[in-house]
Amino acid sequence: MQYQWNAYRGDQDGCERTSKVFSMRSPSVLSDFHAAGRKHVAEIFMGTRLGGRRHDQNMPDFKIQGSFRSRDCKIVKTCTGEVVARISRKRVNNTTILLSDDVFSLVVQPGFDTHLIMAFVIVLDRISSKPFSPFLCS
Amino acid sequence: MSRIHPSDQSRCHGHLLFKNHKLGSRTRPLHDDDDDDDDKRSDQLSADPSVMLTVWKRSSMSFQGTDGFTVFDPHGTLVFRVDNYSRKNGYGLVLMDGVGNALLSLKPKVRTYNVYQLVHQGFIFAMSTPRVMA
Repeated sequence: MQYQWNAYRGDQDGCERTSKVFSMRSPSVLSDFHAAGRKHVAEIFMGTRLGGRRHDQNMPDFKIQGSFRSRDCKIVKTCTGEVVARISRKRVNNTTILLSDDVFSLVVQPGFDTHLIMAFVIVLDRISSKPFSPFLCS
Repeated sequence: MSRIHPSDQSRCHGHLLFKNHKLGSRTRPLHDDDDDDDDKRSDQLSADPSVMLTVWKRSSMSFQGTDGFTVFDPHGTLVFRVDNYSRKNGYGLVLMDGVGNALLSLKPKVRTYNVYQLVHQGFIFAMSTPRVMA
């Protein structure tokens, strides 16, 4: 299981430290146990903050609350508590018919970069726990 | 849409696009490709300023060659995509815009040479020897 993902500008070639855009990681099981107030599935540090200082001294810039596996979660800006984006199951023409969870809606509030939010979602898919699926065919 | 890897030229273009994103010149990344109903669309935008995207997690079958995401805006335009996304090797992903310009590279933290993760009082410390590159 990967605990941390880093995002860099542009293509893979330009992955110097200076081009790092954000780091994203899932909080460890023990930290959830330790601090009951932390009920988020992932935390995001913008720039090069993560690793520069100790983790417990800096707050994440964004955090993910809710369950990504059930496609019901939101991305929250930590300092203000503002909801930046929300992920929900996709419905057919606003009816009650749900599509499969391979399709979901992402609503990004104005003023935030959608490609950054989309990068959060991709990493979130990778670091969130997945249902058991045997890789017999691979 | 058919291009998987961005060419060198488009890679440079991707950086420019990214800078434009950072400057906020495209805070509404809804597409202005077709000019048919621009007035109507701007009315819609002023009424509902949040950006609504549909994310399609394409093909989770591990034995298929490609896996990834495709993201559409309400007009059905391809906005972002991620391709060549294999669950097996866990290596980097590239977020591209609709035409294949790389926007962001996502990489798992590489834990090769002498990196140990210790769990102590609920916090993870990363310990490593000095890098060759440093």
